Amino acid sequence: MDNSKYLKLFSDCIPVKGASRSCIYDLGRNTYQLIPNALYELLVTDEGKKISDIIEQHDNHPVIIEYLEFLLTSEFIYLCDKKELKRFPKLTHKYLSPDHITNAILIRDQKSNFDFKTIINQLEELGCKHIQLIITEDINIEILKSLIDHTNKSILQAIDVTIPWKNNDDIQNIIELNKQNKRLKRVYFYNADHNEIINKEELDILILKNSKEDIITNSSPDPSYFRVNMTLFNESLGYNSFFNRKLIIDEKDNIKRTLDQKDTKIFGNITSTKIKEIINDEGFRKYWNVNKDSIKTCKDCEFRHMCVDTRTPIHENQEWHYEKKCSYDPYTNTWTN
Amino acid sequence: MILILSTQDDLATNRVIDWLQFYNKPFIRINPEDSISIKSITISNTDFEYILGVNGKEIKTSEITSYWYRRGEFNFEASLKNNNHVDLYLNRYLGQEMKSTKDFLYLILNNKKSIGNIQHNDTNKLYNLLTAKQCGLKIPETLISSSKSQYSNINAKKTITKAISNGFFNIDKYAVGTLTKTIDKEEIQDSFFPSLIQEHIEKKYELRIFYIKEQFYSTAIFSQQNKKTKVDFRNYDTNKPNRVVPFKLPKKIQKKLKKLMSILDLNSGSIDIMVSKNDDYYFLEVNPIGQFRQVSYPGNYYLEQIIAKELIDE
Ligand code: SF4
Repeated sequence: MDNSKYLKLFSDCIPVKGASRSCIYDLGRNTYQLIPNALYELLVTDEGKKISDIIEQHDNHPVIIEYLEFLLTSEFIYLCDKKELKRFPKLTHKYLSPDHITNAILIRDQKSNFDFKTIINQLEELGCKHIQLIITEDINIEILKSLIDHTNKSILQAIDVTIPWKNNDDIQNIIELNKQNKRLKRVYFYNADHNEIINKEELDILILKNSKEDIITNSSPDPSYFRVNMTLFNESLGYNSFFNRKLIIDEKDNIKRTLDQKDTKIFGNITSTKIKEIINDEGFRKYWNVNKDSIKTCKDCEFRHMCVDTRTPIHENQEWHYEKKCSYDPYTNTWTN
Repeated sequence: MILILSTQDDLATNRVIDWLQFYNKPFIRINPEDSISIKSITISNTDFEYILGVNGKEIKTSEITSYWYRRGEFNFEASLKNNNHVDLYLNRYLGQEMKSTKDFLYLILNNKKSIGNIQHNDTNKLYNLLTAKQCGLKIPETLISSSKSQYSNINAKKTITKAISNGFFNIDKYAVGTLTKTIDKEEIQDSFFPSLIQEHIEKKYELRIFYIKEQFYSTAIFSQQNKKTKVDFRNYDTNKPNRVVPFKLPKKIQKKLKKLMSILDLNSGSIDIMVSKNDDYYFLEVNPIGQFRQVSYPGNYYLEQIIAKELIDE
């Protein structure tokens, strides 16, 4: 380590402070690193200072040297000359999107309509690129083909599917479907007898013991859903990263704003309502701006900019909170299951 | 109406189009797969109109307000190829006729507000390098030679070699890209195909810059930590990608680059610069098209929106 140089944090590495520990969001490498709060303080207050000064300021404490070396070998920081400091601005946290809807969830059961044509056409018009299909009952996996076929030439970029687990044949079927349409990116099997993750090139298959309720309704976020990337990070600063520009279509083709069973508000039916006409409705957008920085407990959590939370927040006593506690406690850094 | 010339699989074009749709602006995208016919060209004392047929739709050039040349070209030839009863020479003549008509279209489009320009598609790297030098930019010492005896003429301890042209070629349907390689002096043969030999610069980082509307959007690529990418950062290492962060170009470099772009008559483009260990800025190349998403995403610059706005702006 050259002590005559100056400390600079790579601007795609962003420290986020939590109640009792912090986290570096590595937006360039899509990963994160938990760090003690003391290291967070060092990064925030000592950035741009000369290494020798930083060390001296902390009375040559060996821990400081250890910290700096850790940051350097992990490539979170680099050492530059004084005059270079101003060449490296911070990343802006602007979040912009030309898409009116960025993500749609379709819920289907055995009785649902599986002709996806109207839905896909409408979603395309609004620029929607991601679809999440949630199947709540046993269906023949072949039925997925109709969705896959309808999206073969569309602007859609990614399809995630959540489906009950039957047996090992399902895996092969999914792999076949992915061959026909690369948009199929992630498949979650629930109610499985074991947990397993299979990665095949650009396809992820997650076999989970979780129940349907865990996945669809008010369950608290599972760390395996944590995602670190620039778009999500920036979005989560200003918006709720689950609800923002989200559209939900339930089993009966009703347009909804949440997955919450108790939220009975319906904004029309996809077969007769033009989504375009409801996307500016204030009620429909109710949760879009409720970012994690404004939700009790989450605002103190170091995971708040990677945690996509499907639960519906509640506004009470001038504060947003969740009805069910998260299984993570940011004050003690413990998970309860 | 905004005209976009691109290729079907170009994701960057899709994103710009998303923005045009967001602003509700009419556009037409032409890919090389689309067959273009000439409906009519009227040049009279009172009137001028150039009407194209694109996939059965009529496009009047008078209605085109701006034009983005991303890549590809207009495919006029299709109708000609079917005429297999016409002999070779006549066909060649017809091709010539068609070319004049097509060139006329490009000239007409040149008078429109545009980003990029088909005539600039294939710029000459050597000419760009020379012009950069004339604009006061530092360039790596460069030699093109075909013999070992000339090699000592280059004023550099370590050298590299890279393509003189755009560096891509096709083997059947596969596109092959060439990379930058360091030269091992021991391995040089006495004579070889004329090749570009360039001074190897010990780099601190590399800059990838997108230029549009007199503005520079820059990112610095830190690749030195990683052995694999030391020479050419296109040797991607996916597990631990290089750090790419926003960068502010020094004003005096901006000034020289603006001059260069204006001499080369480029209103947009991607520029590669290498910053050496001694903080010198070496101009490497300019590409009139360029992968601006590689700058846009890591810099969070939203260049797709900037391009769309530029096309809309009247
Ligand atoms: S406390 Fe909030 S932000 Fe943290 S993991 Fe739980 S839900 Fe996510």
